[in-house]
Amino acid sequence: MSELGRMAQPLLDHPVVPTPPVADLRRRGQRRRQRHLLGGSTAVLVLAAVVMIATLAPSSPKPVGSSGTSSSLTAYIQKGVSVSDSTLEAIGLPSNVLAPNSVADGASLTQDGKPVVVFVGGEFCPYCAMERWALVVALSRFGTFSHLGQTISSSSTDVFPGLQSWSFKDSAFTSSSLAFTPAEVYSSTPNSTGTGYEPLQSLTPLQSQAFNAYSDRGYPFVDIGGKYVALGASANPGVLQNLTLDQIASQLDNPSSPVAQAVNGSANYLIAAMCSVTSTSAAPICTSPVIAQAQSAMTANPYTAGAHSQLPS
Amino acid sequence: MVARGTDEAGQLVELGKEPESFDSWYAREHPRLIATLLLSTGDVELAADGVDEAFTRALEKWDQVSMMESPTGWAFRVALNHARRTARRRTIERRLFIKRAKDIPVPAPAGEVWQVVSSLPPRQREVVVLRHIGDLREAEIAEVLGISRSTVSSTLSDAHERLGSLLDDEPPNGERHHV
Repeated sequence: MSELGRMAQPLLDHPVVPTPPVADLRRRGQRRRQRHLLGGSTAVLVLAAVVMIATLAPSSPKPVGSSGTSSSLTAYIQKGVSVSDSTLEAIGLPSNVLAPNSVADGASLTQDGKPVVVFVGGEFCPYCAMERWALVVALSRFGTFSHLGQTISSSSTDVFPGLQSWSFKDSAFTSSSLAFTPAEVYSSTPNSTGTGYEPLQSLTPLQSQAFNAYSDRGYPFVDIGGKYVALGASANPGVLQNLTLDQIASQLDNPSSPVAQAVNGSANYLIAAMCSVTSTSAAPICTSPVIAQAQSAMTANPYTAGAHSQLPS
Repeated sequence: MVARGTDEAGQLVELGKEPESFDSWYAREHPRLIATLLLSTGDVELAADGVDEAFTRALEKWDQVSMMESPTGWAFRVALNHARRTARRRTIERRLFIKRAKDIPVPAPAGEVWQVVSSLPPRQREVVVLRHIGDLREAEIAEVLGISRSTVSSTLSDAHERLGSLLDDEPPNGERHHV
């Protein structure tokens, strides 16, 4: 083995991309065959439609399932990113969902020239399990996730023990209008002293800047462009208890489901904040009346140190 | 289940060879392909997508691929070609729609090696990475890249001049890890 090979050994021992299950490869093959079946004139029509859509709305998110990168998303995440705008509008702003706080004098937070959404959480944290779903539904209006779906379980000894979730660690998000920088600060593995959990990721300077601006911060923490902040979960994670990820995902497009109301209701506020820091053309739903209502509610809910709302039961 | 003749891509299949199961080959070779593609392209998304595509196609015709002289070499070729096509498509899309180029850094564990190989011109980088991280023989590299074996040798020699002892092979540990 050469010195170069030895230097690369950690990449083989700890791959940067996990090996997807064989079932994912089968699904990918099925999707490709289905695309090939369209063939001929249909393909030409689809291509023309795609070009038109891309030309008219260059910042719209890519349709899920049509790009190669989406293959790295698990089926339940695919359902999360595919929640329809009509479902979001039907759910609106449930009374048991908290609105994020507006930060009137907050300095704009940007990354690569785009407004940035900062998430700080921990894999052990049951409240983060709820907020991750809302973030995936919301951010998918503005861009495309990849490499998302590494399954985790929140702490077995915390409130709402053992909630099924996934980690944002190693995920990527691509958008022309918005950046997303998540950090999973702790794993769900208790540390050797039994006083907490094994550390996982350190905060970047930008994440630290956002996180440390609030004295009453905790996990989950979501900052949207420096103008809105969600301190803690926006909805009660108890609705996720005893549900598998597939069971959660399969309820997301059903407006009468408590899971959908909690996740999508929270997502509606997050979307409204994201629309505010980007533009109304950043995502089609930005022009929806529900989003305007959410923006008004957040404006009427300014951040005051130590006075943020308690999570409704 | 013994395949005979050639596959659709004209690859020779080996008669009478006992095929390995797809699952074990996939589990063993996936990390190597990911590392090699990542260090060839410098783009984790391109690498993951190319590798997924290669293994998907391998799964679909495993009875043929498993009988090839080098299933892993074949997978490298499919993955690299797919990654190149995707990269070209992205470039065209950016030109047409004035999209911002994605700037996803090479993940941390690959940083040091990437610093070394990214100093090489693209062709040298591909050859070096396929040889020293992909663990392919010169003949296999020639097939993967569609170039002659002498070109592979001279490219490795040129890269050696740039990187020096980093590329010196040590025979005792230089055994191949794949079929």
